[in-house]
Parts: sequence; C-alpha cells; structure tokens
Amino acid sequence: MYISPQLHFGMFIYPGGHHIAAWRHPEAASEHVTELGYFQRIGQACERGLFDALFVGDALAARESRGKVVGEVAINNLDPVSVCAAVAGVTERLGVVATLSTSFHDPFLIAAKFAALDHYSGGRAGWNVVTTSSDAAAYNFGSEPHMEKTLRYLRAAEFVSVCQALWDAGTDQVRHRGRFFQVEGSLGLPPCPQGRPALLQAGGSPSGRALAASIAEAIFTAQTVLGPAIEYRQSIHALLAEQNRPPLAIKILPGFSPILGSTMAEAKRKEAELDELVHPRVGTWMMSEYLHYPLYDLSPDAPVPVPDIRAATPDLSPAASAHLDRCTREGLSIAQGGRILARSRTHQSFVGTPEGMADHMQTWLQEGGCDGFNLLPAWFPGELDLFVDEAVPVLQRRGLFRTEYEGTTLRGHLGQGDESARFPA
Amino acid sequence: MIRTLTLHSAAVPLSLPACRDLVRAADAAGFDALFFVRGPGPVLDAVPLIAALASVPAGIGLGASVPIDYQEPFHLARAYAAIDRLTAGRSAIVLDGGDGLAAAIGRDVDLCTERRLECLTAARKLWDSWEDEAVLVDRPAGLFTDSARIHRVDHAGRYFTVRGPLNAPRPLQGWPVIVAPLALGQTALAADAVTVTTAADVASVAGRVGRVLLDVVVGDAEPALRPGCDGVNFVARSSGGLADWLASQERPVAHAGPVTLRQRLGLLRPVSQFAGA
Repeated sequence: MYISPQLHFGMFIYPGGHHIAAWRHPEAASEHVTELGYFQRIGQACERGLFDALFVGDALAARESRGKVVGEVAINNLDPVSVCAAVAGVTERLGVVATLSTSFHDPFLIAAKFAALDHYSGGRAGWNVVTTSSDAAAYNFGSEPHMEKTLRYLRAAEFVSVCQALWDAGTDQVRHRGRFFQVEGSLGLPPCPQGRPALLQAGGSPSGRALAASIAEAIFTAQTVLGPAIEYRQSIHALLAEQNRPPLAIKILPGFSPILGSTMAEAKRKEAELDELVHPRVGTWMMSEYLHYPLYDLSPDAPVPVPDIRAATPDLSPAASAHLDRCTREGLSIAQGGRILARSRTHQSFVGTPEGMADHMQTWLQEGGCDGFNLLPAWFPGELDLFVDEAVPVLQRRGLFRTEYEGTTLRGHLGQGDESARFPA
Repeated sequence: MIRTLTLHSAAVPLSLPACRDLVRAADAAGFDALFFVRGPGPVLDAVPLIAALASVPAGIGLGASVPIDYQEPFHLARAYAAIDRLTAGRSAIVLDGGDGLAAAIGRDVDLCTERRLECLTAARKLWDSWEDEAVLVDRPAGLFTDSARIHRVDHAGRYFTVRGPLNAPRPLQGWPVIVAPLALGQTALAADAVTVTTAADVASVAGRVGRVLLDVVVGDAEPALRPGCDGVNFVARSSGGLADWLASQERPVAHAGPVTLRQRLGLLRPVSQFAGA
C-alpha cells in the first residue's frame, strides 16, 4: 500500500455554501456571492490555509424542478475559468482548478484558455476534466442527444490529447487527425509555466477511472466509507501501474464537509441549526435529482423506494448508488435521505471538534483511503475561516499537513512530500 | 470624447504584473476602456486575463476579443455573466471574426453574418433570462431567487437551440458592452460600439449604432473628429514604446466614483426582454 505522508487539500467554492440551506444562515455572505470581494476573501483564506488549490465546479444548466428554477437554493457556481482567473489575480501560491466539460467545446480554444490561465497565474492552473450527461445541459447546446458514455469518454481522452499536443508544441504547429478531431494549428505561445496545466478528473465510472489513470494528477471522488475507499484507491493504483505511472502520480481527494465546534455539543448544535433551515421541498428535490427518480408524490416520511429507483436507472453513478446503499442500510425515509444530501450531497460529512476531525483524517490517510480531501465548507466565509484557523494548526502539529508552500506551481503542491512516501518493502 | 486603447496579442505581456501596470497606466491616462484582441501571432484568450485584472483598482473598462464564429451562446453568456459582475460592470466583448482559426477548430462551421447575429441574439436572451429583481436572498422566506422572474429563453434558430435559463444572475450592465470592427459588416450593426479604420467610414455607421470610434495607431497624432464620430480607439500592434506613450498621455479623469462601462460610454442599459413576462 502506497501511503502519502501528508494531506493535500482542495477547497471547493460553492456560492452560499455546501450545505444546501446554509445561505440562510445569518453569518453566510449570501448577498455577495457574485462579487469579486467574496472570491478574493475566500481565495486569500485558502492561501493562508496553505491549501493545494481552490476548486470550482461547473454546471451547464440552472437548477430546475419540473420546469421552474428552484428558488430555495443558491445559484450554481459562476463560470469556473473566470472565477479561477479572478482568484489568481489576488493570490500568489494557491492553485486554481476550473471544472470544464469537453462535451460542448473545441480543443483548440480550450487549450488556449488554459494556457492563458497558466501563464497569468504563474503556473497555478488546473483543469478538472469532465463530460456532460445531463439532459438539462443538452438543451442549452442544441437539440442533439448526448453521446453514449463510452464514446463521450473516448472523445474526452482525444480532446485532452489534442490540448496536450498544443501545450507541448508552444509556437510550433500541431497536426492531429483523430476519430473525433482534426486540428491543425499552433497556440503561438511560449510554453506554460507548468509546461501543461495540471489535470484533474472527477468521474467514478470505469471510463472515468481509465481517463484519470491516463491523464490526471488528482481525482475528486465521493467516498464515505473507508473500506471501499481503500479498494477504490488501490484500483486506481493498479490502473496507474498499467500506464507506467507511479502510484502517487494521482492524489485522491474525497469530498469532505466538516461542521466543527470547540466541543461536540457545539458542533451538533451547529448541525441542528443548519438542518432546521432546510426547506421540506428541497430535501425531496435533492433526492429526486440525485437518484433520477421523481419522489414528489410520496410522503417525505415514506421509506426511500430503493428497488424502484434502481430499476428505473440501472447505471446510477457510483456516488448515487452508495447513497442508496446507505438509505437501505439505515432504513432512511425520503426526508432523512434528503437531509444527508442537503449537508454534503454524496460526500463525507463530519460533525465534531478539530481534534476529532484530525483523528478521522489521520486514519483515512494512514490506512490508504485517500491522499487528502476536497473541502466542502458548510458556508462562506465563516466555516472556511474556522477550518483554516482551528483545524489546520491541529493537522500541522501532528505533522499531517505542510507548514509552508515549498513550490510555486499547482503541480508542485500536489507533489510536495512525495519523496518521503511510504512504499511496501 | 471617448478614448479607448486596443492591444493586439503581440503587444500584450504574458505576465500578470506587467498587465496590471498597463491597466493602471491606461486608467491614469483617462482611457475609458482597454481592449485585448487577437492579432497575428499568439492565440491569446484574453477572457481569463480580464477576470484576473478585475482586482486592479481602476475604473477603466476591460474587454477581450472572442471569435464569434466558434462560440456557443450559453458559454459566452455564462463567461460574461461572471466577468461583468467580477469587474463591477466594466466588461466588454470585442467581436473577432475568427479568421484563420478554421483549420485549428477543424469542424465545418458556416462563417456568415446570420450565424454571428444569431449567436449574439441568443446570448442576449440568456443575459435577460434573469430579470434584475430575480435575486432575493430572502432568508426568512427561504427564497434565494424569485423563480417567477427567471425565464426559459426557448431560442430555436437556424444555428442554435438554447432552452435556458442561464444559471447566473443578470450582468450588472444588463448586457456587456459589445464592440465590433466595421469590417464585420452587418454583424457590426448589432454592436454597441463600432470601430472604423478611416474617417470616411464614420458616415456609414453614424446614427445606426450607439457609438462610433475611429482607429488611430498608437504614436500617431489624434485627428480632429468628424460629426458622428464619438471618439478614438488607439491601436497598438506591438509593445514597442507603449509604456512611454501611455506615460505621456496623462489626462484629468472626469468620473467621480465607480461607473459601469455603459455609463462611461453614454450607452443605455437594456431592460430584460422578459420583464413582465
């Protein structure tokens, strides 16, 4: 088992906060979520916290329920590359990772876009490569149906290889003739500070894992139970070996939503406060969306109709399927399942003290469950500040996290500490 | 009189600190906007650049060229919905016809006025899909937005089908300022401001678009302006002498307090076409 000696952190910015109702919290800066100052404050807190990167997710459609925008939830993230560039403008070391789907773009223009972000951030750019499968998104880009999953990922792999060729070529010409793309041209730019922007991947399907093993330097995954997380990480290491890449070439970062207090009681109070803010309709909406099954006509107290949901969508995502497993295991009602999603969607949720959180993270790291986490603060900026001020020092004291940035690039941060990794005898 | 400065990509440094200096110098010299456009040579995507420059304390407008032939309306609308707010309403899109990119894009695209105009029309519908009053942040009621004020756009045209709505609030300017060179023909008439290369061309667009600007090469003397011409767009194709020239341009700045680029250029702010729908 290959173990990272230290944790790596992404920080996932989400307007209004990751707890779906936290925008209603009096301390959440909800009125400011489209202002530069909001992102500036958050970016600078991340840098103070010595995180590897700010992570910006993407969505290509408004959040609707039965044809109408869901007014009870905060807005999606703003355009990720723009947010990343704005934060790069007010930070010096923090990586900036933008999610961007290959589905509705041309590789040449995306290569130019990320080259610009890498140049202007001084080598801190990252691209979380995803593909799009949502019907709502398809309706915003023409009326063609989505490509089938395997084809989508094949296209994505070729898309990335075209970008890599363009970044590597600098001012030289690239001539690519492939299954999906025929590209002839040059970016006409000197090489990026990182050579190529860092690449991340977030799809959990077999196609997603294969793509990650081939191109990625970090994976954002949804893992809530340690045993399966270890197996998942080992499966990625096996795929890396097939690609002749070392196991620590990819840092695996499960999502992690902390609700912290100086005592357990305080943390639980905070959790209860947030639960109270969840509108009853929102829980049902989240369950319906994540499980691809309309639950609106059922009582919120009814048990989750797991067999019907599985029958309706046999190829449910691994994260959604894991949530269904949990609903079955714990005998949850729709409202109870919805509350879990409200807190952290399909990601880990931790309620407790910074020391308890450090114990948890230490176990996950040292048992080989992950290489770090992608943090999902409940609201901004307060819960992020709390993590930076109260939780990071605990991790540093235990030697689990860096006390300074050693490198100046995102790739440098992701690789920091690798030289003292533990390998099997 | 309006004064803007256009830098072709060969004139744009690849370092953010150097670009920040340019913004500060152009702002101090009283320019209304700084436009970063694609020229021969480096393929510079200046959209992330203007986002990175949003934090430079300055009132100057910031524009980036966008190859309109290769844009999806939703992507364009989304990027500028973000950038317009991040720049506090100082953003502009400079239309670029995408010349010379065909082999790099590598798929068949109708390079024509109809497609370009349709892309702009669809993007404007998306910017209008959220009425100005859509964002509530009503904590007691638990409503972040008023969904009755967010509209599907249901654009179904020859080249684009876009259902909408956008997933971002309305730009502070309503629509970002759109600038186009006269060389784009009919497409230019859909812009807020058109740049012309000779004084004689002013008459062909004056009165048909919001603002007309005459291109002048950096270093040349500022000409007297003909009727119908609202100002000058200085153009630098290379960086040689640019810093000195900017330093020589000190002018008093007339604006008190932050204004949007539309306000600086004397352009009206559009009302959402879906207001009251």
